[in-house]
Amino acid sequence: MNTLIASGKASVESLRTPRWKIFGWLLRRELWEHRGAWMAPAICACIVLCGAAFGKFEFGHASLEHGAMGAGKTAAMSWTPTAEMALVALLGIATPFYFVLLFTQFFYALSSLHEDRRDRSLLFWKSLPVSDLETVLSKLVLAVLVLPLVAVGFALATQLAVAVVGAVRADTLAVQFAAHSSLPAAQLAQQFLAVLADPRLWLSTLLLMAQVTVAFALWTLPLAGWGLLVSAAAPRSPVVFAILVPAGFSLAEGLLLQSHWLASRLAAHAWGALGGLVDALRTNAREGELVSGSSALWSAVTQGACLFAGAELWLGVLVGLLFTAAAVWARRYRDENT
Amino acid sequence: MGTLIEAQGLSKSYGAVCALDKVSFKIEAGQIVGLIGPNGAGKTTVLKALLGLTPYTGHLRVAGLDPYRQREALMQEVCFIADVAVLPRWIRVNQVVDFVGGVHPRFRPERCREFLALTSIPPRAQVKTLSKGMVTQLHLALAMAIDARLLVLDEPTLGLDILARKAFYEALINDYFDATRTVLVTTHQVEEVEHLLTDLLFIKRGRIVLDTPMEALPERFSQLVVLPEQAAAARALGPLHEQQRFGRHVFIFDGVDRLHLAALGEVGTPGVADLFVATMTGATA
Repeated sequence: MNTLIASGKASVESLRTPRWKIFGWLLRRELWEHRGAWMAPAICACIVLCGAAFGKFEFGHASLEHGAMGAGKTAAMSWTPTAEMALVALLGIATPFYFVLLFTQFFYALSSLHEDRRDRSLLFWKSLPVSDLETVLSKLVLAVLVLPLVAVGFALATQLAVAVVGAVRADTLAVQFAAHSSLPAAQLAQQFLAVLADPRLWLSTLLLMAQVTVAFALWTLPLAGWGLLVSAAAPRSPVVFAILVPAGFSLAEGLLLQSHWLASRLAAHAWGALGGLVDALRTNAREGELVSGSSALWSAVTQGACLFAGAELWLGVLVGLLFTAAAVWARRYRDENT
Repeated sequence: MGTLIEAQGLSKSYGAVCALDKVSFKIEAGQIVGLIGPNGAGKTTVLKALLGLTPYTGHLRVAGLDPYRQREALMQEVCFIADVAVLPRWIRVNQVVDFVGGVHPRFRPERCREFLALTSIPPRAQVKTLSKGMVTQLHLALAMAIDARLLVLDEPTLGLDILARKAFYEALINDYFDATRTVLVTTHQVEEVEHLLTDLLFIKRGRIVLDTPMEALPERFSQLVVLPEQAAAARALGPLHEQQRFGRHVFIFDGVDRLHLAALGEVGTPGVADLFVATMTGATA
């Protein structure tokens, strides 16, 4: 009798797929649909790599100028490559990936809940035992977690590849740099290789990129949330709605209330994001504190923590979550009358 | 088992247009019900309400659940095919089988693959490369592999050729249906479902105009075929519908004693298609 009841219970429970498993399938589904998610950072990587392999060596050039500026003009004659300069160069390589990510993320969010409404496959997705909350959350996670991870993956691979190209071309570069330095070319080349092989360089890069990526995801959360809401609610062409609605509101505000609250909030967030991220990169790079031991590792983490201070960032996160909640509501209750 | 669907005074309007006007009906477990009506009669609105996709007024319970408020729980119980010709265009056949298998606790992938093996659908093909008939077959294979108490099909064979349509309904009856399953199917291609339905629901301009078990049809409805000379006499008995066929007059009567009719001509039971035309064009409803 007891076993009967127990087995009956078990069979009832086994009929509920665990939520985390469903979420895994939802993420997989997104990656199947948006196989192009790899394309943008891959193209970006190709361009950067082509530049490094065939172009004039911009990376070396940039670090040269940075070194000259950072150390002061008097030091220019005794210029030698350092890990700090290499760090600046590696972060420079990563920058275009973040810009590309900003666009792929936003356009992904804008299409994520709209495509299936447009091609009428919405009813198929809605016929499955998946809640609208789970559906929308899977798209948010893809936008603010998976896409940034993909971008960072490509950025790291590109940095490594450029470093390898740099190592291969070390002799040529050394000849080029020797004009600016008191050291002979052969010694410069050797130092150059030593810098690229320095584990502190790569540890610092990884740590900085991790912090910047988390900060990036938090800063762009309101944009992703807005994209989700528009894609769930707009009757058509979400891109137009995503731009026209805030533009219309701030215009109406200006005309009716003679104020620019919305526009200034948007600008403040955008500048906050750009300023915060750029400052973080610049100060970290300029100060050139490389992570060496475990205590230094900790100090780098706490230094990076200033990225997450400011109220502006967390206000944006809150707004992004509110937009996402509204997107869930629209997905659930919008009556597609087709 | 008991009642699976219960609707009382179900109404829905889109702005000024009344799509459903106080519709009431019951569907018991184990029935195969045909919800039949012309385009725009409210079939799809009924289905959307049943599946919790649209708000409504009135009382509605599906498997004991309020579909609009308890949609997720309901989707564990029912299997719904809204538009069989539509699946996400980008997805691959094996991906959609894997995905449904991943999220649906009652889906049996091996059963779905058995159904698919009977078709000529390539397992790695993208949906957008499949013909309309193949998409329908794929969708049906998915639906039939879900062990659901209620299967709702909206125009399931639209766009299929006659062989595929026959094969679909045969599979539905032989492989899917048993006493624990309930099927609600909407269509306006009446001929192909009439031999497998247990119950009929006719819907016209948002109202149920006929709700009857198939086996009650002969008791209630009769078809009378008469020569032109008897037409006036037949008309006097108040037919639901009249048409001319091969020089004869064909009448359909509702609730008229067959003994009266037999005196005038040949009496039989009307087909569902004729009954449908009679109900939809007749003046009564």
